[in-house]
Amino acid sequence: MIGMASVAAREWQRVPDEDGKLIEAARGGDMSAADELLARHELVVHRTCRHLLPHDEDIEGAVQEALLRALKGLSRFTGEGSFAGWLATIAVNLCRDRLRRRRLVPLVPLENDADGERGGPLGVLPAGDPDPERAAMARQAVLRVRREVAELPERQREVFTLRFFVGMELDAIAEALGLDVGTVKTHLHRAVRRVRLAAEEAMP
Amino acid sequence: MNEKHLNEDELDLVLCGEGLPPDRALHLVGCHACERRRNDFLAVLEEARIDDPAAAVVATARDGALQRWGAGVGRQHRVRWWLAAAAVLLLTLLPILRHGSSPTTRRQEQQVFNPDQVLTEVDAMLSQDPLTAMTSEAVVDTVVPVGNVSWQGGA
Repeated sequence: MIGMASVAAREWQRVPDEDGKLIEAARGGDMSAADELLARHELVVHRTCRHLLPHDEDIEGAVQEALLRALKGLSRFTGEGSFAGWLATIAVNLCRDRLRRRRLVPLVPLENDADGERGGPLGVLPAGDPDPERAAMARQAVLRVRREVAELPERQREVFTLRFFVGMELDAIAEALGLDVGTVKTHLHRAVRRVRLAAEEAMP
Repeated sequence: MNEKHLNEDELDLVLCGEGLPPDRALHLVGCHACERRRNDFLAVLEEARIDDPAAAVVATARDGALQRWGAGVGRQHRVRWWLAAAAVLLLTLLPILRHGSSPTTRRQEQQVFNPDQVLTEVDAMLSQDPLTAMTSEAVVDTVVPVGNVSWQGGA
């Protein structure tokens, strides 16, 4: 399946033994253990912040703040869920805090930055298909998807982001957002329907 | 194969990672149109996803968090050490502050001052006439005539 494998399937199992040992050591103030623990799971925080915060927000500062909150709150991590899911909870809460402080509807970056990083949405095209019309439609579809995701209601946007951009499983999302799995599915269905229709409109 | 294409709800179910009934799942496997519709959307999502930051950016954020946390942990340890030291000092000084001397001195005083022995000596002294014990009987009779001495010792 294109995309899904690289986007979704990642480590969301319960706390492995090694994580547990690192967490215990970090709780005791062991810096190297804390370093390794963060290195294993920090991308969850980066992805969450990069997708939920507007591009003009201090993303790296937010990530650092989220990681610091995690380190300070290690004693509160019960180990019942995945450590990555717990980090996602912290990152989502931090993003909500920042968005409320700004009192803005968050806007995901459109033409300015993300395309520059990735070289544009031409990758949608199959290799060896330089059809400029199809390339333009693909670009439009990507822009429409970003805009549509940015305009989703808060919960739907969080669920959609954690599922497709961070790569979390439904039960991990439910745990991270404090929802039951059924509610997560409902939010996700509504979000997928809206975003998919927007994409199909742009790229029929 | 069931020739009917996936409807909107079924397509969304697939995209959300949920299962389809077996006959519909079988259709998806064999239907190029449905498969392409699903894959096109996932491809657009993959393109819409913002890339992970460079390794240096990731490391900088982590190091910053660790440094701030480490400073806090060090401060906490120092504060705990000082509190422990203060507690020990207080426990040591508290008896002295309350009684004005060290416990060792008080124990020595208790050993020197034997109340039973003192009471015995006082009883022995009182059983005698205290004045005659101190000076000659003639002097006592002169200073305090026998008729004026009460049992309380007053003149």
